[in-house]
Amino acid sequence: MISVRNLSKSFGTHVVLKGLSFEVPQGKTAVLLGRSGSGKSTMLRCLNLLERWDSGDIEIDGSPLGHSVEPGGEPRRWNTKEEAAARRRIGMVFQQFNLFPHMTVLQNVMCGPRHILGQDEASSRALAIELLDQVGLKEKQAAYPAFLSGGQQQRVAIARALAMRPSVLLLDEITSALDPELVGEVLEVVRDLKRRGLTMVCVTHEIHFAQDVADHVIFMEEGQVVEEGPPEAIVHAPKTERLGKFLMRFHARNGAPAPP
Amino acid sequence: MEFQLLVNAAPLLGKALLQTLLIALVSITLAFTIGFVLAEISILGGRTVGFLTRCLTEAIRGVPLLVFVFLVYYLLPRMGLYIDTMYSGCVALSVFFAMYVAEILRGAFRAISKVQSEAGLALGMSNWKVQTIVLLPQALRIALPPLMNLAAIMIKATSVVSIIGVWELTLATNELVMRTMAPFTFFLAALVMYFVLCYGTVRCASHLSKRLNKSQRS
Amino acid sequence: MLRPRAASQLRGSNVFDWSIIVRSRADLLDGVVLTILLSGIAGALSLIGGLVLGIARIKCRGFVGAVLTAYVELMRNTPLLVTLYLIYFGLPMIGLELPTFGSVVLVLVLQHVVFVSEVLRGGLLSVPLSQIEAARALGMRPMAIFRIVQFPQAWSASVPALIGALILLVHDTSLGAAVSLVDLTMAAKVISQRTAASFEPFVAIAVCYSVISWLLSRAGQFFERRARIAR
Repeated sequence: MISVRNLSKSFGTHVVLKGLSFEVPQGKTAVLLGRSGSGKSTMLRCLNLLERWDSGDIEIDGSPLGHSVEPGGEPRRWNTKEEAAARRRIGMVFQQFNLFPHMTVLQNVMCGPRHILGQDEASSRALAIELLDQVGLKEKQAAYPAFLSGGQQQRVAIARALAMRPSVLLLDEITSALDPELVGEVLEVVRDLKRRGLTMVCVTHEIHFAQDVADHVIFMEEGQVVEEGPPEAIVHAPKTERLGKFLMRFHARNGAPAPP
Repeated sequence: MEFQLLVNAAPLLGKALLQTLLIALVSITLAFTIGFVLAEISILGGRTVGFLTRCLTEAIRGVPLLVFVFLVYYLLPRMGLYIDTMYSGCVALSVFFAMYVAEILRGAFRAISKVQSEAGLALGMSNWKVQTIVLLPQALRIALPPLMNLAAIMIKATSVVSIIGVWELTLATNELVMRTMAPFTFFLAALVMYFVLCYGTVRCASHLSKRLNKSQRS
Repeated sequence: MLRPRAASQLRGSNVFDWSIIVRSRADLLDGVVLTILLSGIAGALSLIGGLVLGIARIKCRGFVGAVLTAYVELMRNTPLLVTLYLIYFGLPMIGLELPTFGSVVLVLVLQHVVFVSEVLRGGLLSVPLSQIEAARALGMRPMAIFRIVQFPQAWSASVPALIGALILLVHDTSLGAAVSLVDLTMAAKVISQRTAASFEPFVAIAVCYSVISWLLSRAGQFFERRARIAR
């Protein structure tokens, strides 16, 4: 369960997030939809503290993110150790996969449990193989990332994030860098994760992805929530003009009737 | 560190510094010329010639500068050339570093996109014209920073010829230390002088390359 | 019909006199051994020192960083020979009596930690930021990120350049002859003084150095190919 309240952030004079608020219920998938520069990636990166925000609150599973409240009442900002500890419960998959090239597929997936959680070799390996099987890449465990296709690498990246047993998974434009034929295999894995009840927040500018995967779509523009709702309503019955404009190109390409 | 000794020796050190500069300038000029010719030969001369020049380059670069200096020093009389030690030193420095110059220039030519020479050929230029009108200016622009770095290295390298008895800053400093038993004073002074020379050259190099590249946008 | 020439007849000719090299092979061998020993010890120390210096230069800002940068620039812009003379003649004056071998090792290390640190710094900075982000997103702490993600990749990227630096080190050991350390170059001087034949010994050592350099550069190419395959 994720709760974002009134989040604001600026990079210097450029305001990226303007009082953003939304909620993601347990086990549901939220998609942040919008153009490049709408602030959606920054919002996602705030959720695992890769970015710090200026004002507002984020709560994950009931506890505040990024600071602890001392008995005296003053909130204290987390240090590096506490940030790292929090990130272990929050998984992230990147647009460019970011696999470690000097490790095999298996070692990449084992890396988290083995080196961060301190588990022993045997159980880390077993977990990694189980996850690679789940994403359909068990036979590739001894290969190096450079020899895999984009879709395969992305699935390994998902397995690597899952190995930490996170309660939340963040997906940052995970299909944007893939050739169209390879998107399907990654989507299949994400649908499977939905079926298993994992809470997920995805960022994308691809409306197809949002339709496919989302329980709830949040359309963002210039750092604010413009409209939100279930995917069918968002895509076929937009209420705001700005969302309508965003969808226009999508509908024109797909031959559906233009929204009012 | 005794400053009075330094002040007394200043004129001598000044002359030695100028001598070092002279040796460096002569060697740099010769090295750049020989290296340039070598690079052009290896590019335009076809595969066998290119292979042979690469062998020559590797052979000389596999040997330390000091050993090469000794070799030249003893080889020239064998060949019947009885010249002053200083010229022997200059020859050694020039030939040795010409190999590096050739490598830098060859790399610079390789760095130019192949389509450039194709464009020249398409216009109807001969191989030679393509080389001089299209490729050479671009190669020189690319090669200038590493070449100036090499010049700084060559200034440092002149100290090696002091071992065969060429009088320049290092040898002069050595003699002064022998006479006055003040190693820190004079060797530190020499280090400072070399530093000013080399660092100055490197700074000039980066300044020059920035100005040269203002007209390009990469 | 060819009659075998006596060694004495060969000596007088203008032709290259092989007999000198054959007779002095013991000295040459000693020289090679010392050169390899010198390179090995100085190389190992420079490697460790260079790693420390490289990391220190990335981490330390402000005064310490400025001092380190000054040291690096000083070593890069001054001749090794003058530094060698300074240490060799200067240390006894302040009471430190180092054996010649030690002085030469000290000066070589002072110079080459700079090369090694520059190579390693380049290697560390070449690891893409996206990797480090991925490791952070997994929840790795900075120390672990360095140990598991940055250093292994920086190391394998640096090996070819490090071997290049090692070749330079082997060449720089020849300057030991300036302070009469009996390395390979000094051996040639000694032989030439003893046999009054100056050219042949130096050709012999030139060949020795060439062979060593060639072997090392072959090793470097081998590692470079391996590193490229792994990417």
